[in-house]
Amino acid sequence: MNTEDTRYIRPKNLQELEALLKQKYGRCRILAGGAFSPARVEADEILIDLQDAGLNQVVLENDTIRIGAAASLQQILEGLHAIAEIREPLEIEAGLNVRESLSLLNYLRTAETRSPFLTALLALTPEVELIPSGRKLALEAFLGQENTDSREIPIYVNFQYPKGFAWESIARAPKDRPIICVTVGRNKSGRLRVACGGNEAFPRIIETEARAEGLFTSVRKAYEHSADAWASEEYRQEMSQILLSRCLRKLGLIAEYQEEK
Amino acid sequence: MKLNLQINGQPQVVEAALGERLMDVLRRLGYLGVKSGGCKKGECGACIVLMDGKPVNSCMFLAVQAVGHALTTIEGLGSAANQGWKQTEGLSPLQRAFIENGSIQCGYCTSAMILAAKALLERNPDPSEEEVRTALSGILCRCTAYVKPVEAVLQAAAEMRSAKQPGTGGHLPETPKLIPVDDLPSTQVVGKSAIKVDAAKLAQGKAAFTADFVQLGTLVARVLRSPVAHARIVAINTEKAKALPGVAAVLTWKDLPRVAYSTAGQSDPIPGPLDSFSLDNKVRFIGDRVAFVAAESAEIAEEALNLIEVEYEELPAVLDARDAIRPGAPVIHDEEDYVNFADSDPSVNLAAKIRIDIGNVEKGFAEADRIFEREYVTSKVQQAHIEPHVAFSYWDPDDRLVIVTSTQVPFHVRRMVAPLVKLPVKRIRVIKPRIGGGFGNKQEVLIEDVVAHLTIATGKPVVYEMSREEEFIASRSRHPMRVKMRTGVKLDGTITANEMIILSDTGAYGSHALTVTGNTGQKSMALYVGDGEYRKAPNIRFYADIVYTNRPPSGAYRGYGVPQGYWPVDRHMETIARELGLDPLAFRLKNALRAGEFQPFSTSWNEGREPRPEVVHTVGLEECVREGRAAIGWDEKFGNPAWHEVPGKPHLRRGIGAALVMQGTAIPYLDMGGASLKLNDDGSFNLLVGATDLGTGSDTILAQMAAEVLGVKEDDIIVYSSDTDFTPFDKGAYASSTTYISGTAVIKAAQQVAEKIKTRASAMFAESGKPVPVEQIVLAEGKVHGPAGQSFSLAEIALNSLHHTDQEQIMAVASHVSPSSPPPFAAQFATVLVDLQTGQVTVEDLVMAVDAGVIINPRTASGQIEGGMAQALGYGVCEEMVYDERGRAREKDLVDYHIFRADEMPRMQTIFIETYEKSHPFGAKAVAEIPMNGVAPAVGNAVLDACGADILDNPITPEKAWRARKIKV
Ligand code: FES
Ligand code: FES
Repeated sequence: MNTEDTRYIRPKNLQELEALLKQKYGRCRILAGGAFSPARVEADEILIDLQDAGLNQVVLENDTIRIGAAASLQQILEGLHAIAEIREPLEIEAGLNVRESLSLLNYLRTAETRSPFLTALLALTPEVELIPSGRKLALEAFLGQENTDSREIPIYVNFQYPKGFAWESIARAPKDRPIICVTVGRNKSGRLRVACGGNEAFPRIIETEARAEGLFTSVRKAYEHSADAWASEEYRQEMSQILLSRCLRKLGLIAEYQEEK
Repeated sequence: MKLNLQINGQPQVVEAALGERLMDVLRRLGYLGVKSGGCKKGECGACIVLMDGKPVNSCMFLAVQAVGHALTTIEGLGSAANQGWKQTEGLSPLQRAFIENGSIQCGYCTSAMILAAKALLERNPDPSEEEVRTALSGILCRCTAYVKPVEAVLQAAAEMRSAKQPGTGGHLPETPKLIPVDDLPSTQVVGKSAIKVDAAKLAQGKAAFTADFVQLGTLVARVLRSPVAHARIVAINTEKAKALPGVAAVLTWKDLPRVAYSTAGQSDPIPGPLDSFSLDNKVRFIGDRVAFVAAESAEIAEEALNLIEVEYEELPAVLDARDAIRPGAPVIHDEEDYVNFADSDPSVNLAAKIRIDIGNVEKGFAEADRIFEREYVTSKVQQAHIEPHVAFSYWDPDDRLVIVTSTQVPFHVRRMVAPLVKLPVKRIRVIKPRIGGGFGNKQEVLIEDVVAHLTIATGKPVVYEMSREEEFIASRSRHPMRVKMRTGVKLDGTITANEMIILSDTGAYGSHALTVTGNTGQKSMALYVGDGEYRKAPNIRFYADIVYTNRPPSGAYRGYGVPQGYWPVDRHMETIARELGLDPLAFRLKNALRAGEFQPFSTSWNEGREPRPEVVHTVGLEECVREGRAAIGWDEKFGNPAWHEVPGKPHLRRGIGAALVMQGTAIPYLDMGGASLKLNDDGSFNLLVGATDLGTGSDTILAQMAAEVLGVKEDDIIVYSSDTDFTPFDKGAYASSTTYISGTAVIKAAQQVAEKIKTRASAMFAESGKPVPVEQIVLAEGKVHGPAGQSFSLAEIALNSLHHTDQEQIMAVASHVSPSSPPPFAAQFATVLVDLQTGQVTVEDLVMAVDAGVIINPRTASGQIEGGMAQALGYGVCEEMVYDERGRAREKDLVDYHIFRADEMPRMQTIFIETYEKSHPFGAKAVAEIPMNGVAPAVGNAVLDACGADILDNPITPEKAWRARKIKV
C-alpha cells in the first residue's frame, strides 16, 4: 500500500482494525469495496479501508456460513453456490460487474426495502457480528438501528447452513425488481423462517415457531397495507399465497402445510 | 495526495484528492474509454474497468482503493493496426469482432462491453451464450438489444480458441435474412454490410463524445430544480451561494433576458407554442429550472445549489390530463408573453388541437354491421440513452460563442439559442461530436442555453452534464395518451369507418405537442383504409386535444407518437377480428393500405400547413406477413391448444400475437439535408454533412451511397459530421429522414463530383491521345475507365486537378427536400409465456419482418430493428413513469425504471422484405423508428391469446394480466 496521506489506512488484519476503531480519532469512515455512492470525504475524516483486513471471504465453519463484510456480492453468489436458490435474487439485485464491485457492508448500508437479496438473506436468520463491541444481533435489528456508531462496524454476517431454502418472486421482466418476493429458509431443526418482501415496507419475517396462526394466514397478513405504486394490497396478498405454496413445494413441505391453506 | 496506480501494466504516480472517484481520476488522466452514464452509482455500467481482471464500476470506488491493484481500461487492449511507420499488434480479437459484426451503434457502452467480455474470456475461453449474457448483465445498452454484442463475444472466443492469426477474423455472423427485389441494378457498396466508419475509434475508447473534449479548468454547471409541481417564485436569494468560494456565477430569472421559445428542435417556424423561458419566475413541474450555477467543481456547484434560498407560492397543480380540461382547472401558462401556435389556448391548458375528418365518417358508421368502441391508455416512457445530455461552451478568440453538444439538431440549436442569449446566429458555432444515443430526447434544446448563459456570465468555459435523475425528472419522454377507438365493420370484416379521439398529456411545456400527436393519427390510422368501395374513399376521423399538466414535459421519442397509435389501433383490430371470428392476419391485410393508394392523411393534414396528397408506391406488407408468420411458426401455433399448454406446468400458458404497422420517411416539403464533397490528392473524398449519426450508422450509410456513385470503397469517404461553421445545413436526425433526405443530398453531391471527374478524365484521355467522351466514362474501383480499357486512377485525376492542369478543387455541394414520405411497413410477431396464477408475462420470441425499401447496409439496419424492438418491449411490459398525488416521480433511476438487460432478452429475429422505392436513388425507405411500433400490441395480443386477458393500458404488468385473465388454474 503506497499513499502519502495518513488519513487513509488499510489495517492488515482484524486486530489492527479493532485497535484503530478504539483509537480516539475524530470522525472515521469505513471503506469496503465499491459503494453505490462513495460518500464525500470531509477534511477531518479518517478513511479505514477493509480490503486487506481478511474480511472479503465467504467461509463455512462448523455449519455456519460467515460472510465477511468486504466480500463482494459476486463472492457471495459463488461462495453460496450450494444454496442454489440464492443465485436468482442476487442476479436480479445487480448485473455481474456491480456484484463484483459492491461489498456486503456497502450493500447493507444502502439496501432498499424492495431489494430481492435482502429478502432472501433475511430468511436465513442472519446475525451481524460487530467490532469492537463484539455484539451480535439479528440482521433485521441491525438494519433497524436508528443511530449507528461509526466506530462499531459489522465484520461478518453469519447464518447456519440451511436445510432448505426456496425463493419465489413476481416481476414485470425476468431481471426487474420483484413486485413481491417470498423466501423460505429451513434450519437444521426444521423450523421455517419466511421473509416477505418486494414492497416499500421492510420485509416481514415469519417464523414457524412464533406464529400464532397458520403460515399461509401469517404470510397473507404480512402484506396487509402493502399497496404502493407497484401493486395493490389485494394482489400482493393473493400472490403471497401462490409464492408460499411454490416455495413449500420446492422444499417438499407443501403437504405439511396444505391443510392450513 | 499521490497515488501509485498500475494502469494497463504501467505504474503511474497520480495526484488525486482523497475522496476522488476512480472514474474521475481515470478520465482526468485521459482514459476516455471510461464513460459516465450520468448515474455514477452503479446503474448503467458504462464506467467499467478491470480491477485485477474483474469488471468493476469505476464510479463505485475511490481512486485510493485501487492502489495495489492492476487496472485495465479499454486503452490497454489493442490499437488500430495501421499507425504509419510504427508497427502495432493491431486490435484485439474482441475489438475486431465488435467492429466487424455491427455491435457498435452509438458506442457509448462499447468499451465496457469489451472489457467485461475480456474478463470472461480470460476465465472461460469457451463460454456458452448464457455465460456471455451474464458477463454483460451489468452493462445497459439502449441501442443493440445485445444481439450483436453477444455474437461478437462468441465470435472472438472462437477465434481466440483456434488461435487464428490476427486479421484473419472469425466467421462473420450471418446478416439478417433479406428477401431482395428482383432486377435491381447491381451495386458494389450499397446493399453490403459495410463496417461502420467510426467503429474502430469507439472500440478503442478514443475521444469521440462531447464529454471527452472538455478541457481541464472548465467550470461545472448545475441547475437548481423545483421541488414543487406548480408555484410562483416569490423571492429568491443567491447571496450565500455567490459568496461560496469557487462559485463563478449564480443566475436566476432576474438575470436573464426574457425570451419565449420552444425547446423542440424543429425547422422554422416551430410548429408549436412558444411557452418556455431559460429561467422564469414560475415553476410548472417538479424538476423545472429555478437557477443556474457555475463553479470550479461539481461539489462546489452542488453546495451552492443548497445555499440558494427560494420562497415558493404554491399553486394548485394539475396532474391528470382529464383534469386539465375541466372548467376552472388551474391555468399552467398564464404568462402574457406566451406565443400561440394554431389552436393552442393556454387559458384552457390546451397546447394544441387537431381535428381531421377524411371521407364521411358518420355515413361509414351508419353502414357498419357492428361498431366496436373502447378506450386505451399509453404510458409515459423515457428514452434512457446511456450518454446523458452534455454540452460545454466557450468564447473563441474571435469572441464567437462555441457550443459543443451532444445534439441531434446542431443547426436548430444554433438558430434557437441565438435569440435566448442575444447573439446573432453568425456569432454562434455549434459542434456536435459523436452522440451516445438520443432517440429523440436530443432533438430538444435542453442544456445548450444553460452553458451559453453561464459562459456569457463568467466569460469562461462551462460544462453541464445532466445526472441520470435529471434525465428522468427534467428531460423529455413519450407523450402519454388516452385513446378512444370507434370502428365500424361489416360482418365480412370490411372496415367502414375508423375513429380515434386522443387526450394527450404534453406535461408542463408544449414541445412537439402538435406534431407528435399529429403523427399518432397520421401513421397509425392511415394503415387501415377499409376494403372495396371504402378503400377508394376511406372514412377516418382523428381528433386530438394535447393538454398541459404539471408533470415533466413530453417530447420527441423514437417513433414520434406512432407507438401510442399502434397500441390502440392494433389491439382494437385484434379484438374486432376475434369478435367476428375472422383470421386476425387476413382481417388486417384485407383492410390495410396498398400500393398505388393515397396516404389518406396526406389529403387532409400537413402539420398545420397546406396538405399535399401523396400516393404510396411501395407496400411490402403481405410479404412481411408471409415471411414473419413462417419464421415464428404461426401456422403451427395459432389456434393449436397443444402448443399453448406447457407439459407438466398447468399454471403456464403460451400465446402468440401479431401486429401490422407502418411509419413515415421524413417530413415532405419541409426538412432539408445538405452535403458537401471534395476530392483529395490520393483519390479519397471528404464528405461533410450536417446530418447527425446518433448511433444509427447513418454516417456509414451516407459514405456507402457516396462511394457507390463515385466507384470507390466506403473507406475512401471520410465523413465529418457536424459543425455549423463547416458542414452544410441539415435539419438533423429525426423523423426517420437521414438515409432518405440527407442520403439523397449526398448522392446528388456525389453525382456532381462524378461529372466533374469524368469531364477532367475526358480531357486527360484526350491529352494522352486516346480521347473518350464524358458519357462513355465509368467510375469503378477507384478509377475512371474508358470503353477500351484505358483508365486513370482517381489519385491521378486529383493530382491533375489540384496541381497540374487548369487547377481546380473538384467538389460539390447539394441539398435535398423530398416531396414525398414513403412509409416503411412491418409485421411484428411475438410469443409469450403467461403464468396463469400470477399474471407474470415472459416474452419468448420477437420476429419482425420489415419493408424498409432497399436496405443500404443490412447489418446496421438489422441493428436498428433489434434495438428498437428491445425499447418497444420495455414499452410493452415494464417501462413507465408514474407520479404521486403531488407530482413526484416514482422513477428517478435505472433501477426503478427497468430497461432490459443482456441476461433477460427474448429471442429476436429480423427479416427484410425489400421493395424498390422509386423516390430514393437507391430505393431506400426509413428503418430506425418502425421497430418501436408493433412489439407492445403484438405482446398484448399474445397475452390475450394465451389467457384471454384483454389489457387496454400498457405496459402489461403482472397485476393487470392477473386481473384480466380468463383462464384460471
Ligand atoms: S457511471 Fe458508473 S455505473 Fe453509471
Ligand atoms: S451501443 Fe450500447 S448504448 Fe448505444
